[in-house]
Amino acid sequence: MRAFLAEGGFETHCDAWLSGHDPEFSRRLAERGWVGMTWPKRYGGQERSQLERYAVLEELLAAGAPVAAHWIADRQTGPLLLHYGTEAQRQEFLPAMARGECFFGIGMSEPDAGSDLASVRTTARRVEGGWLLNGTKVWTSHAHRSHFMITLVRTSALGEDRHQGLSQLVVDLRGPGVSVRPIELLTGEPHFNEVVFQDALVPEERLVGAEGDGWRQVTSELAYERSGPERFLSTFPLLVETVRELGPDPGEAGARALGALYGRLSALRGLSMDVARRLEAGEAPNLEAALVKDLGTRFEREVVETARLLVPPDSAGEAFQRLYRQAVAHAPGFTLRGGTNEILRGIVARGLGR
Amino acid sequence: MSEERRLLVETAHQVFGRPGVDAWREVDKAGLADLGTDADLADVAAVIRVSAYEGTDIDFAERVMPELGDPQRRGALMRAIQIVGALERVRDLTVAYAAERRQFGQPLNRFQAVQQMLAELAGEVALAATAVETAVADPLSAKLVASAKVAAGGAAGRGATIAHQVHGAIGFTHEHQLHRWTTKLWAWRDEFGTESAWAEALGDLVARAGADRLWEVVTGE
Repeated sequence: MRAFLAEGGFETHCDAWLSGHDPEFSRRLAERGWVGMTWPKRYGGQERSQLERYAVLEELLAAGAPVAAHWIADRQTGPLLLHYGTEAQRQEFLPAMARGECFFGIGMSEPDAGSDLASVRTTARRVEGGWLLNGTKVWTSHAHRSHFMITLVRTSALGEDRHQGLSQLVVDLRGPGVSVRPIELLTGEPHFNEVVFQDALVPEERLVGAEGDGWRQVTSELAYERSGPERFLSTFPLLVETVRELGPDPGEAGARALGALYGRLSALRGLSMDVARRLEAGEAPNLEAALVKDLGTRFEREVVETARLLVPPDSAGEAFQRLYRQAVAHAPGFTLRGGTNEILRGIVARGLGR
Repeated sequence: MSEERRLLVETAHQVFGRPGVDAWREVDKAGLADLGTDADLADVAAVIRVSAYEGTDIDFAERVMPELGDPQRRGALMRAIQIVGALERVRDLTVAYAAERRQFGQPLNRFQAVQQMLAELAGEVALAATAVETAVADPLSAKLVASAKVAAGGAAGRGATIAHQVHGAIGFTHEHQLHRWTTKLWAWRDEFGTESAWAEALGDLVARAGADRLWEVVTGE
């Protein structure tokens, strides 16, 4: 893996797991068997363990490699289909995902449903031959260059329990009645999208899992989504350049600040790996996963703040300056994506008493 | 946790949970007194953690913690283990208090501002516990012990602050039991090196290894 990364072919970036979109790199990675690596061989996987996958992810993140194109499919849509999908769906999507040729977006948020996911209003009505979708999804990373979107929709009217009547559908982003409008980040990079459905017909067989079971399925994805090493390594490339700028004798204050970050990183890594082990054992450590995301994303931002106070950005080397600018401009997203930290802390607090 | 360790921890809770007139005799009777000589460090640490959780006044940790070559490192790891035990108690007390105390017609834990604090407390405890468990598994690693004391020391201060804030005035009194753990947290975080002393040692180590080896230092290669 390190030899592969040392060969390069990419520029190290902060936050590259979500913003470094490079289909060619994803394909090269897939050729080596590093996409969908835990999946069964009959679906194009390598049947490796979750912890082996964890080690591969860490190496990619530490190197700031552009893995965003396949990240969602590899991290959550693939496992979701393995768990809830039909045999035909697995056959259709998993091998293509594992070849790094089929990219997915996440269709959860809507204009009026951000942290409050259960209030989604996009509807899917059963019609002859499939589902007719109407509504709008938003903040979908890379929808403009992905093939499909796993989409949370309301398949029956809103009743007493808001968590009932939701379902997940695989939507072809180039299908009829689907329009995708890119939304630039504050840096000007195309990243988010608004995806509008106007009588979009989705074939019957694209329903994932059971009709009405969408909420349970979505929440089962979240432990994977929140606890991985991408939740504390987004700014690791900047930390590397900070160490380089400080040199072998960082002085008392420099050493203290570096050591504090290192200690935090080391503990976060332990906690995140612990969640990975428990997921592999079939447990549902949702509370711990939420903690990893809260603590890890705050650490990512702490790296940026420490770096700028230790190394005056104006006088630093080119690599530091470039990574520092990326980190500052991307930092607002760290504590928003995957559920805002405030909402996650609410989930943790409510879980504590039980 | 292995079945054996689970039993050991259960016994420890019973013994330390009801301090006798002669606490050491109780500890001795339960077979915990000579733990240091014939158990692995993870077992010893688990029992030290329980003794801190139960708030024992006897110097149990000092008597059972094995030598690790360097007395400062031994002391730092011992205090880090104790801090985790005490923090777990402080967390449990605080969660329980926030559920039973009512103001403005509802329990404290219904207030979002309080929920944020409870989650932060739980996060600090979880992080410190992980760092300590990692160090206990490899206690000769200066890096891991330093990381454990940094994590535990930081969590001790933040945890005690949150616990007192949530408990309000009653937690600030002598008659309330909270101080039995928070005063220990304040003492233990300073003993055998503060966070900043251990962080400085860690930072020097990271700086000497250099930027291109940072990741290897993190992964322990």
